[in-house]
Amino acid sequence: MTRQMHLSLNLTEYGRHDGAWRDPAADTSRIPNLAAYVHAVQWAEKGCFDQAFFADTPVHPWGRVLISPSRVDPLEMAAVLTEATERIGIITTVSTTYNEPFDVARRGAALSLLCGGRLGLNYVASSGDHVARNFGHPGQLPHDERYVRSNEFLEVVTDLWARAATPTEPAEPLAHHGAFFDVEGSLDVHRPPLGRPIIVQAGSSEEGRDLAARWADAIYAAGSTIPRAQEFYADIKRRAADHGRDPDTVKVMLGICPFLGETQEEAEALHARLDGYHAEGADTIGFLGTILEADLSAYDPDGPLPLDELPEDLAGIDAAGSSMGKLFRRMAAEEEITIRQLAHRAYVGGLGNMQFVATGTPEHVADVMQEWFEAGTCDGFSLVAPSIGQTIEAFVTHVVPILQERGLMRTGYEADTLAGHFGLETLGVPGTPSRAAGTGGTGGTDDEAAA
Amino acid sequence: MVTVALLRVDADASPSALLAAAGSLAAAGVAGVGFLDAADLGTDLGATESSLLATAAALELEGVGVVGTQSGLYGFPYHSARRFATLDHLSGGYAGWLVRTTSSGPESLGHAWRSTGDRAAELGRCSEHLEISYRLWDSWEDGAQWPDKETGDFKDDSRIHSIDYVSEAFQVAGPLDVPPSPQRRPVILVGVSTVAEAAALGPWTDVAVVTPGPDGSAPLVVAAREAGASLVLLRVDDPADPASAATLAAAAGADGVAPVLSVEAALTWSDVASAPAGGTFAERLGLATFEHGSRTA
Repeated sequence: MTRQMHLSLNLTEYGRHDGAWRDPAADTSRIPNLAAYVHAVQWAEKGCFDQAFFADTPVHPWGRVLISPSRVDPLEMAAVLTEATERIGIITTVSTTYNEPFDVARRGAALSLLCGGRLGLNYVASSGDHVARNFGHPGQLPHDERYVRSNEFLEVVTDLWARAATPTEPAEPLAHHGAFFDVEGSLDVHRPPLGRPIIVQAGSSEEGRDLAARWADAIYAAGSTIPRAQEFYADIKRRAADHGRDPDTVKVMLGICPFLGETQEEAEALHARLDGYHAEGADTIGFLGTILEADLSAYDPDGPLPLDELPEDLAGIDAAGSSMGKLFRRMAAEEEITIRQLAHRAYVGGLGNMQFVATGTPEHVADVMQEWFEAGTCDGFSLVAPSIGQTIEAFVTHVVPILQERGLMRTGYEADTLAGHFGLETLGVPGTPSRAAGTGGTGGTDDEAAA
Repeated sequence: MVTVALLRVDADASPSALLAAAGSLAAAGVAGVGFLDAADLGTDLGATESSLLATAAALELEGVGVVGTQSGLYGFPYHSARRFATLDHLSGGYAGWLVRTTSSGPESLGHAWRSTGDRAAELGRCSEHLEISYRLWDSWEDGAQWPDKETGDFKDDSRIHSIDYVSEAFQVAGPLDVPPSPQRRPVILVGVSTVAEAAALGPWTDVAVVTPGPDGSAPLVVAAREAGASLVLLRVDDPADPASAATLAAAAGADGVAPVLSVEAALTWSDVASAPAGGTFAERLGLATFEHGSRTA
């Protein structure tokens, strides 16, 4: 049988394109709009997607850009979305920096029990000073510390689940005393179905990759070219094997942003229209200035970027920010482009910086997905819908049947759990291969080393 | 007589049976349904957790309050404010937060904060946790969420404010990322079993749920009302039927009753004399509409 791709839908209120909400068809009468999320996830289920994914950062997004954040508690949202569906998995995001492992283990188990094992949790080591200040810290934790904390966080939550009570067995108390957490006792809810919810990661830094390869069942990846995506894919699989894991049990989901149309021209028009909604009336040159760490207001917007007068050594807020700056310096150096044009591209181009964009007919998008899939870049795709309702309806109606016909996608659900959609019958505790999480009432653990 | 039924999330209860029991109580006429999980009941094991169960129930129940519990001692106030603002959005204005002010064994061992057993300190911590939550719910002025497709302004940041709360226990900058919910904030329910509890949390209490103490319930009902509760319910564990629960509440001078029920008992309840229908949970409880800054001003 042909290897089949896994599909995930990236859930947002209007779409991942920051212009989507200004489309006349977008319903802004109610914010947040539960109906929009339910509509999207039910369509994804109609298309036999493995999962829908909910990103989260617990902080108010100041400013005009960044309107795509969710503005709700992700686990509460997941509770409604699993209730509104029957088969599709829901992956939701938790910060390992600004949560306590006991609370996440408790709520994760509770929701997994409520939805019959359709839950996955995406563990994020949060960066940013603004988030930190909502949780008692004056600023973000140092990068390395965030990952050490994430690792210990995962040790504690998976251990709490492995030791939780089942209908036939009592809980086995834990005694964890680590650098970040002191957790004793046991969960006061049952062990979740299959032993634990699915573990998801999305790190691209060295520490992020290693953490993902050690723990994750699924990894969200971004790659703007096939060679870069191939490198990431091979690296993750190799690291997983180094951790003593079967690389096939670690699914790499590559972000793809499709602009769909009946014709190529129609798809390109949709792309341009959304870009226009986003940029219209915005201070795009100020935005470019932030990326380049320079005040561009004194220069002629219709002239070239004065590369000699700009700071070359960009500190940036983080790795992603500084590489964005380099990217736009390079564009300015290599192309005949005005400040205004470059600023527009920077302002609307956020999607392309994060994942590859496929613009065209359903046939074209299916071809592109097949090409990337067969090139060994991923085990499946995370659909980053530019305009959520429109994209998912068009994708499920027109692209999914093509993929199914080519044998690249399932034509119906075979499993009831998210692990089942991944083709996994049982879930171990990947961080510590010696310890089995067990399934249902057959679990149990005799490992004291983690305590 | 107002009735807010509280279902026990026992270890052997199934989530689907709990949701069915909640639906049955709603049909019987209660103003709200809540869930008491293992941490609320002081037991070591329950079938699932309260607030996520309440959220799942919100999708099925219409026109009935959904009450989730969450500790006011453990965890982060930012998360609490966010969770219950979310529940209020997802339920269309029917959210209630029953604040847990006591510690169960498992949660007291699982979290970073540890109680010294000083009850006044615990109540002080709960009070701060609630004050921060209220400030976060008030961090958006009315009309700050104003998506204008013409200008491209999605919200008006000049009408959204940091709270910059600083105390020994908490530092929370805010603002909340969740825009004001249909009720503006959830209905706050607080369990009261001593006069000290009533007094410490009264400023933040919409609905006091009184558990009779050694001196009976009448003095606690009076204390809760004097401390600021807008509505006082009498908690009655496993009443024989709706009528007997209502009789006990009336005798205590309470405005209503909070019967604590098993799934099986809940299914036998019908014809609960309750408040008339309303567009929000607060309305069903007969509470005044929550205005911006009404308790933090």
